[in-house]
Amino acid sequence: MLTLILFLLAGLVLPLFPLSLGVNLLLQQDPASALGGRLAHPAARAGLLVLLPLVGVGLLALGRLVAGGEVGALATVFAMWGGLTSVFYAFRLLSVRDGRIWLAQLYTSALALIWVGAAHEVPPLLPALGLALSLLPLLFLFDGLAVRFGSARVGLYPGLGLCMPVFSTLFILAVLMAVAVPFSPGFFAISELGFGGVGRNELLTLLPLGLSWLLWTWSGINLLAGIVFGTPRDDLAYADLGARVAVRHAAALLALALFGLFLVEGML
Amino acid sequence: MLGSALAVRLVADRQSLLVPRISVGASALTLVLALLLFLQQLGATSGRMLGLGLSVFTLYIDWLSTLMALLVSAVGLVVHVFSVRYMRDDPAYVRFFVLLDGIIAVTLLMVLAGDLLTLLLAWHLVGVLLYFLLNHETRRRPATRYAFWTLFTHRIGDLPLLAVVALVYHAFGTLAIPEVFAALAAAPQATTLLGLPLAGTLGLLILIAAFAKSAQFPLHTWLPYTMDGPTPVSALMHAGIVNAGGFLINRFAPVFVHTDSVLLLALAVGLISTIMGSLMMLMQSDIKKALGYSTMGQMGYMVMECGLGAFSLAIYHLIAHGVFKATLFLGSGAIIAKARKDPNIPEGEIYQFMVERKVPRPPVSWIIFAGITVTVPLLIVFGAHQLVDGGFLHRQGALILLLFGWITGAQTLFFVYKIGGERPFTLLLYVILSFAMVILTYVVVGHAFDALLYPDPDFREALYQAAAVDSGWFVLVLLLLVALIAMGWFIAFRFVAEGQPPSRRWRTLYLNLYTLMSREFYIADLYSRAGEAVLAASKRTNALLRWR
Repeated sequence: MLTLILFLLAGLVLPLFPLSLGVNLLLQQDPASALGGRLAHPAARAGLLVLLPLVGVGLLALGRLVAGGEVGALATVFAMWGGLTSVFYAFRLLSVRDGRIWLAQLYTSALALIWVGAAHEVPPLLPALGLALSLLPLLFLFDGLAVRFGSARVGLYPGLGLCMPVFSTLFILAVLMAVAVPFSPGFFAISELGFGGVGRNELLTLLPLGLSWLLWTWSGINLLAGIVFGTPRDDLAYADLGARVAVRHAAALLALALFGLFLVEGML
Repeated sequence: MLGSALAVRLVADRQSLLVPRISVGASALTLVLALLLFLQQLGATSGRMLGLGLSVFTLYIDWLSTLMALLVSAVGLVVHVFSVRYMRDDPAYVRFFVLLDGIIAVTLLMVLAGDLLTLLLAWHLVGVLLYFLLNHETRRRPATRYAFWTLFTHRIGDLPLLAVVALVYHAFGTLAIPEVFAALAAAPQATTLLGLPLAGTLGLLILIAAFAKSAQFPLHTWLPYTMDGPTPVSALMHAGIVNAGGFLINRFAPVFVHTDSVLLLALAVGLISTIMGSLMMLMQSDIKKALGYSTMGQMGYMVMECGLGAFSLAIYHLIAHGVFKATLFLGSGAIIAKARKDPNIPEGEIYQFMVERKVPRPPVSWIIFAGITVTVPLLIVFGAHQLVDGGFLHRQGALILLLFGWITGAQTLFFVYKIGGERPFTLLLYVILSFAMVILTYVVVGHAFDALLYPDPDFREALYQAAAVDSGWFVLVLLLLVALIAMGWFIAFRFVAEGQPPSRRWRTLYLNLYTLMSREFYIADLYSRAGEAVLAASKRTNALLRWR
């Protein structure tokens, strides 16, 4: 019973629908609200994105410890629940146009996959970190868009690729990293979950991983199509990233790619 | 090539003139290295692994990988050289060269990959980089739309490969390609957790991955529509990237020898794609789109060859196709520009037939001509095979390929009859001689590729056996097909001789078919509708849950 409670608590932060509604509410807070004000700075939200999965992984480990490692049927139920949550949020992500909602839903879809691996005894810490860290570059760049244009939203200011080429290049890389394209920690996290889980149950592992991954790509392309590509508006003032900020972002992306390699070396 | 991409980006702001020099120079150097690697491998007795001491980024140097690297780097150099002038006035000149270098680098990594994770990484990145190259004209909505189709289809092809990697790692605990093949050979009866044969499951997944990259039905819609990218990208795509499917099937040939009936799927899908691509090609008025469908048909043929067990022939086919298709794409712009001034079609029978639509009355007896059409190509293809490889008759795959050679030859001779003219038998003789040359070359080179890529005759035989079906049924179906096709030719000849082509005789059916084909069987429309429905459902769900 205690294991079930701990797993359900973990399901709040390694989100399982409908427990996921809470974490989505938190991550989507409007900066104008009281709680949102405290999370207005991107660093605070980045901290939250990294902290929440760690809490979830801790609760998961505690649940396993309490059960003495014997969580067979319960783990399978949670794995199916996690897989369904992941695909469900990946499907919902397709129609999201707001940056904050997009990140919150992708976080939900990605971190729910930890349950798929956990059921098959894949150590959850590194995949959880990999999936969460992959979202950070985009979080900061969404914040940059909100600062410049008032909100980070698809379709409001298309064609940034022509007006803000440096920002756009980094934005493209950040989106690719978020949707787990190779060299992102997210890709290696998915590989680790897949390689580990397939030894226990092929369908239960590969189906949610594959479907979510496919739908993330689709929604990532929607972001690029509405922000980077298209014809720029004439009535907006565009300010590209300065060299120093750009180098900082690029270095962060490179560091994350190296972390991805570290993950794969640990995995094989 | 990756170094070149980085160097191009770094020097672009200060020394823009250096951009093409660096890029073309790196491309030429890559070709030289690929050639040296290939020549070195020619004298080797087996493949070898190269690595950096990491678990990923290992390279497997064998005959297949070096041959493919040679093709990729050669096509890459031609496309680079062509792009220098073609793209000169383009504002996104630098970005284009960075992406071009990048895609050639990952394609080379793909063909040379020594472990399955590197293969998956490169396989995946090819699709991503192609998306950005096709989206070169960032303002154009169609470019964005069809680039998305491309990436999405390629991603569908990535998923089975991910499953392959996961299954192999679980089964054998290694991802190194030669070790995987050795482990599978030691335990060919291994099964998955679901109790399915492992080799068969892997084979099936590999085929699906290959179908997506090589634009096979029903994953073909991305290819004919991606014409908004620059012409050099089209050339690279049609001469290089679509070949990835054929390469993948060949790379995993040691898996397919342990499968049973899986290759029949390749045969069926390849056949459908060949017929569909060729039909669609004839329906197009846009030269680039026609070439796009032609590529689909050719790739279908290549996949079909694999489905028949003729793996090395597929490699020869993809190289030959790559060379001529790159030439056609790179020349298409100049041809269109010239044709606008002067169509340059010589006056005579062909001009009357093709342009003025005057169908002359055939001057000779249709029975004689039909007899020649049905028998001579059959004798040529049979004779050429017999000359080069006397033992081909027991291979079902070789017989099916022979059948296709026969149909192709007969179609050409039928066309000669339709054109008519004053000296039909002279023209017929020229066509027969050309056909004999083509078939003989095809067979000889095909056998040379066989000996190069799969030097072990037992392995070659095992590939043909993996593609074989029950011999009694096979002979029955083959004879039935031959009889039906021969009868079809005789009927077609008779109709033409009577001046009543089938299109006039069964007009309603013909028009209905024409309409269906002009809408490309509604497949692209169906996908578009399905995509819109999914997006609408997603929006409704989000609204219901207040986007939480």
